[in-house]
Amino acid sequence: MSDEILFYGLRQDGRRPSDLRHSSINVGVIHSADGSACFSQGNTKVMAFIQGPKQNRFEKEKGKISCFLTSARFSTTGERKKVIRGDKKSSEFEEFLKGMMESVILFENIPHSDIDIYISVLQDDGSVESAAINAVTLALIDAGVPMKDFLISCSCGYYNSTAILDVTYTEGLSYSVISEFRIAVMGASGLVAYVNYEQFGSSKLSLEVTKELMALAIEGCRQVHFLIREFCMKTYSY
Amino acid sequence: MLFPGETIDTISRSGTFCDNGIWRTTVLGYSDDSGQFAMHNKEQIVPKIGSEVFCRVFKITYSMAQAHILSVNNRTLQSSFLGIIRLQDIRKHEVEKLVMEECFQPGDIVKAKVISLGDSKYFYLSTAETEYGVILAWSKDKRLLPYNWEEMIDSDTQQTYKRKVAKPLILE
Amino acid sequence: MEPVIVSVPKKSRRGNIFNSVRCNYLRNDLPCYHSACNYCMSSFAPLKSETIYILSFDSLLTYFSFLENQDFLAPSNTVFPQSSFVHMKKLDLKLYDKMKIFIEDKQYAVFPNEHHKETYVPINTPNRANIAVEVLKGYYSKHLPDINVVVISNNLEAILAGSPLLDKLPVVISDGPALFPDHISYDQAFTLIKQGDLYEGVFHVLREDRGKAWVSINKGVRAELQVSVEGKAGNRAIDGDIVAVKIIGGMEVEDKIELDEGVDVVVTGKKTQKVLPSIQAEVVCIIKHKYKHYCGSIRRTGFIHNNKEICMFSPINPKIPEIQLLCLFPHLLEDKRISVEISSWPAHSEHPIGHMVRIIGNITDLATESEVILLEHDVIIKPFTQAALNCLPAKDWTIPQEEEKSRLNLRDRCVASVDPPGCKDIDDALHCSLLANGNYEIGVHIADVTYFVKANSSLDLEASERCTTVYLVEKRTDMLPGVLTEVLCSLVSNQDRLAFSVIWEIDPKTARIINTQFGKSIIHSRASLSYKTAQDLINANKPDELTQSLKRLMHISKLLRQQRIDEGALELASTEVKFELDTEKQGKDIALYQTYETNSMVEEFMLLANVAVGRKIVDTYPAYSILRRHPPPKYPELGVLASKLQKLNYSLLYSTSSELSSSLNHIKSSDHYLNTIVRMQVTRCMNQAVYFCSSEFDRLEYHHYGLAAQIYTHFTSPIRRYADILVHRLLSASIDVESLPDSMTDRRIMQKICRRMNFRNRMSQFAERTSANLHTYLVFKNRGSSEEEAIVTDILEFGVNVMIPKIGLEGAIDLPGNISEDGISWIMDDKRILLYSHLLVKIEISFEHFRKTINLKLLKTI
Repeated sequence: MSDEILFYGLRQDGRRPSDLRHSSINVGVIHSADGSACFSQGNTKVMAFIQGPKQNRFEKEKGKISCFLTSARFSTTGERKKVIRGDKKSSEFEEFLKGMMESVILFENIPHSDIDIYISVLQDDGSVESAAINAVTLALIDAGVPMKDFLISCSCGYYNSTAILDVTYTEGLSYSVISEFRIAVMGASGLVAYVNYEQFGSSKLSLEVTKELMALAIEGCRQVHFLIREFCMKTYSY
Repeated sequence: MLFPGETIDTISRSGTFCDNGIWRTTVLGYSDDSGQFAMHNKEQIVPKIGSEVFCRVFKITYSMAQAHILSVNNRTLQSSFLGIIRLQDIRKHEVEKLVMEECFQPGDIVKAKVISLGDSKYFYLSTAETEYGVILAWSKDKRLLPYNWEEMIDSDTQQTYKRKVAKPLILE
Repeated sequence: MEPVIVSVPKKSRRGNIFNSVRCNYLRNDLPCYHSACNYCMSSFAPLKSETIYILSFDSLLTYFSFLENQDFLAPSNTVFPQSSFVHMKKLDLKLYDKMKIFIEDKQYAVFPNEHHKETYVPINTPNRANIAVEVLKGYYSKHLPDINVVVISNNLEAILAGSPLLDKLPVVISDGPALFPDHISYDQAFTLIKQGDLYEGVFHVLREDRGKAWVSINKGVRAELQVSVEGKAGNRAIDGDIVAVKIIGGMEVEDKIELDEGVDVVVTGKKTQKVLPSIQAEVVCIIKHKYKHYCGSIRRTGFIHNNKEICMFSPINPKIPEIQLLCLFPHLLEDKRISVEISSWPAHSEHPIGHMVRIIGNITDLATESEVILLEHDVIIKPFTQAALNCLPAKDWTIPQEEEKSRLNLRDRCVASVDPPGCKDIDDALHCSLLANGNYEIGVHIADVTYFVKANSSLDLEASERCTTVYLVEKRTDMLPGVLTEVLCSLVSNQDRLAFSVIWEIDPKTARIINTQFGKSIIHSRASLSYKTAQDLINANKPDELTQSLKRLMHISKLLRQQRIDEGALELASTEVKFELDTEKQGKDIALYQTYETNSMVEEFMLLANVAVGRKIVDTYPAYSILRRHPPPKYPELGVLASKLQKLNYSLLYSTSSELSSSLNHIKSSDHYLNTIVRMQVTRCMNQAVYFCSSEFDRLEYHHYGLAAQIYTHFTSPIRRYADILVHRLLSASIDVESLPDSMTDRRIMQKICRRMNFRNRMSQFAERTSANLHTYLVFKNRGSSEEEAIVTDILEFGVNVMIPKIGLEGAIDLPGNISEDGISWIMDDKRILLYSHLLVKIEISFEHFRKTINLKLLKTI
C-alpha cells in the first residue's frame, strides 16, 4: 500500500489537505416516509429515512429510537463484496447513532412514541459514518421531529504529519493514516458531541496530533454546517 | 432561518422548548415579522396529556372502548395511536349505571381528551365533559344526528340510539 | 474546483474485474512555478530561465539516469508533469521511487497537470503520458507567451551537440543475431508462477566464477529452495535481479546448502568453494532489475562504432559481468575509476550495454579508492541536504535557560571520557563517586543527540537513511553533520554538555546494583582521556579525585565482568589492526590493535547501561522497542570445528554459551596464538547480531547469545548509530520527559527501519574490512615483498588457509599435494602441514585487471 496521499501538496483527487469534497444535499426524496434526505460527499452517497414518531410498542415511558443501516452491494469502492447485514461495524454504528440521536431528540415533546431511522449506503468512498450522521440530521429536520440541537459530522485523517480533511476510501486504506478520525458537533451550541477514531495497527495518537485533528475536523463541520444552512435557505424559502 | 436548537427571544406557541430558562427552537423555521417563531413544515405531533383528540372506536368490551386516535388538536396524525376509554372515564356522575353498549359502538367518531399516557399500549382518554363524546355515528350506513345528551336519532325512521353524545357545536 | 468522475475497470488482486470509481477535482488555482509570471504569485518558483524544457514520458524513461548526473536540465529550466509520475508508477515502481527522491531533493518544479483544469487529459486517451506533456506545453506557451517551451522527446542529442555530457547518454541499440532466448512477458510470467510452472527468486552469482549462479526461491515453496543456473541459462540476469526460473533438471534430488555471505573484497586468492545445488534451472524472465551503479575501470578496444569507441568496463564487483560502453571521449576515462549503469542487455549482445554515470577519480588515488569502497557498499556519501542543515542549531549555541531547569545538574561530578586516541566524536563519559553510606554512585553519560535531532525533522530522516557512521581507515563518513558530531554533542572536556545519564548505586563489595536511575542531565567533563592515558593514571595511583574515580570504576568493572562470564558470556577475539598513517593518509605501518584494561572497563559499563536501558524500554513499550538480539551460533559449523579440534586433542563443547565459554578457556597450548585463533574461528561460526522491533519476536527470542543477556539494546553511541537515537527517544518517553513520536509507535515503520539499520550496519562492516585490506595492500606496496610467520587455520581442498597474527591478515595458499584423510593436515611430497602449525610465508602484491590483490606464498614450514 505505497499510495501517496499527498503529492506536492495535493491529494490524489486534487484537493488540498483541508478541502472538503463536493457535497450535494436533497431532502424529501421519498414521500411515503415521514422524513427523508440524501447526502452525498464526493462519491459517498447516503440516504436516510425517518418513520415516526409513532406509538411506542414497548413498555417504556420514554420513546425509543431504532436504527437500521444497510449497504448496497455495489456501494464498495473496491471490489464488490457481499454485504452482510448486522456485521460488527454496522451494528456498532447503529448502536452509537441511536445513542447520539437519543441525546438530541426532544422526547418531552413527543412522549410515548418511537422513531425509526433507516440509513442506506448507496456508495461508499470513505467517511460513510459522517455522511450518514449528516443525512440523518437532514431527514429529522425534514420530518419535523423536535430536536434540542442538530448534529453535523466530519472526518479527517493523519498522514505523514499532515492532517487531511474528509478522508476518501483509498486514503483510509493507506497505513500511515489514522484512518478515520470522526467527530460530530452540535450545530447550534457548537459542542463536540462525539469523537471516535480508527487507528491503523498499534499506532497511538499523541495529544498534539489529537488537538490538530480536532481543530481541523471542527473546521470541516463548520463548512458542512454552512452547506446545510445554504441548502435549507434555498429549499424552505418563504 | 432558524435551525433546531437556536435561541429565540419571544415565546411562541409551538416548535419551541425551554432549556434552563432560554427558549430554543425544536424544528426548522424562521422568525416572522412580529418576532414570532414560524415553522417551515409541520411539527411532528403526538397525543399528550390534555390534548383534544378525535378517535374512531373499533372495539368495545364490558369495561372499555378501544379507539384509533386520528388527530390531535385538530391536526391529523401521520400514524395512528391507540387509545382506550374506560367505563369510569365516560362521564363524571352515575358511572355505576353505565353500560358500554349504550355509550359507544364500533365505528363511532369520538371527541375526547387525553388524561394519561397509560400503560405500554394505550393512551387513556376521557369523555367526562359535556363537549366530549360521540360526534359522528352511523346506523345501517345512515348518519345519526344528536338528539339529546344520551341519544342520537335517525332522521328518517325517528328511531333513537343510545350514545354518550358530545354537545354539538353551535355555529353562530 | 470542478469534479470529474473517473470510472476505470480494474483487476483486483484475486483476479476479478471491478469498476473503480474515483473523483478527480480540476482546479484553476495552481501556480505555474515561473518567477517571471506576474499572475500566479507562487512563493515557490524555481523556474527562472527563458527556455523551459519538459521531458516527454518516453524520453524520461530513457534519459532518467542521465538526468541524475548532469546540470544541463536544472531546476531553473525544467518542469516535470505530474502525469509522468502517475504513469511511471504504473510502469516501474523502483524507478518511480528513485525519480521521486531525486526530483524532491533537487527541488525541481512538478506541475500538477492531473488536477489542473486546462491541462487535464481524459483518462482513456491513447498515449496519454506523452499527450499530457504536449498539452502542458500548450498551457505554458499560452500562460507565459514570452517563454520558449521545448519538449524533449528524442532530440536530446541534438540539443546537447558537442558537449562532453553526450558520453553520459544511454546508447541506442543496433540489431544482430540473437545470442540469448527472448524473455517472456511479465504477465505471462506471473500467470505461470501462479500456476506453479515457474518460480520467482533472487539471482545470485558465484563470486569465484561468473558463469555459475544460483537462485534462491522463497515464494511458493515450503522451505527455501535453491536451484543452480549455469552459463547461458542465466539469460542476461545480473546479480541481485529478481527472476522467474524454469526447472530443467535434477528436481528429484533435494539437497540443502548453507549460504555463506562472508564477502571479502581485495583479499588473496580463493576461499572455500560454494557447492552449487543439483537442481538445474534457466531464467525465462527478469521480473525486477537491480538498478545500481557499478564502479570499475574501462579497457579500450579500439573499435569504432558511430563515431564512438567501444570500451569494455570491468566492474570491481566480480559478480557483475563486463559492460560495453560507447565513448566519444575515451581518453578522458582511461586510468580512471568510473561508475556505470547498465542501460540494457539486448539479446544479440554478449555483454550488457551501459553508459557512464560519472568519473570518480584517478585509479591510483587513495581518495578515489575509498570512495569506490563506500559506493560499492551502498554507503550514502552525498553531502547533507540544505533542509537537514537548516535543522542544526547555531554554532555558538549555549545551553538555554529552560534546559537548565528541567535537567539534573551533574556538573559537580568528576566525569571523564575514555576513548581511542584522537577520537573526536566522544559520545560516552563516566563517573564514580563515593556515597555517604559507603556505596558507589556510578554514572554513564551519553551525549544527548535527540535534543538536537528532533523526530521526523529532515535531519532525522537523513540520519535514518544513513543509519551509521562508517569508519574507513583514513576517513569517516558521518551519520550526522560535523557540527553535531564534533562540537555540540561530543562530550569534550571542560565544556558544559547535555547528556542522557544512567546512574546506579552499586555495592562496592559485590557490585550488586541497588538502584538505577535514568535522566537527562548537564555534565561538565573533567578530562577526555585515551585508553592509554587512563591506564597510566590508574597505574600511577595519585590521590586526586579523577584517579580515584577511575580506580573505583576499574574495580567494579572487574567484578561485573566476572559476573557476566559466570553467566556464560563469550569472550571472542578478532583481528583488529591499527594502521600508522603517513602525511598523505596512506598506510605506513600496520600493527595489531593494542588493548588496555581500560578498554574493557569502558566496555563493561556500556554493556551495563545498554542492558539497563533495554529492560526499561521493554517494560514501558513491549510492542515497539528497538532491541538487539544475537541468535545462537550455527551449530553445524561449530560441530565441524569441534571435530577438528578433537583430533588434535582439544575439546570444544558448545551446547550452551557458558559451556562454550569455559571450554574455550581450557584450550591452552605452548603456542599462545592458538587460543586467540580458535576464538576467532568460533566467532566465524556465530550469526550476526541484529536490531529488531520487539513485536517481531517472542520474548524468549530476545536473547543475546554472545553477551548472555536476556535483553540488550544499543544506547551508548547515538552520535554514530541511528538505533541509539531511537532508543534515546524510547527511553525519554518511558521516563516521561518527552512524548513518543507517532512514527515510532507504528510497528511496520519500526520493522522497516530495523531492516535498514541491519543492512547498513553489515555494509559498513564490509566497507571497513575492505578499507583495512586496501591499506594492508598499500603498506606492502611501500615495503615491497616481505616474509612473515603464519599459522595454518584451515585445510582446504586445494591448499591451506593461513593467518598472519602479527598483522591480522588472512588468506589461502595454493599448494601441490592433497588433503589427508582425517582432514587436519595437508600432505605435500614428504611433508605434512598440520592444522595450527606455523609456517613462514612471503607476502606479495599484484595489480592485474584493475584489481589489487595480496598473494601469499609458502616459503617453508617451521
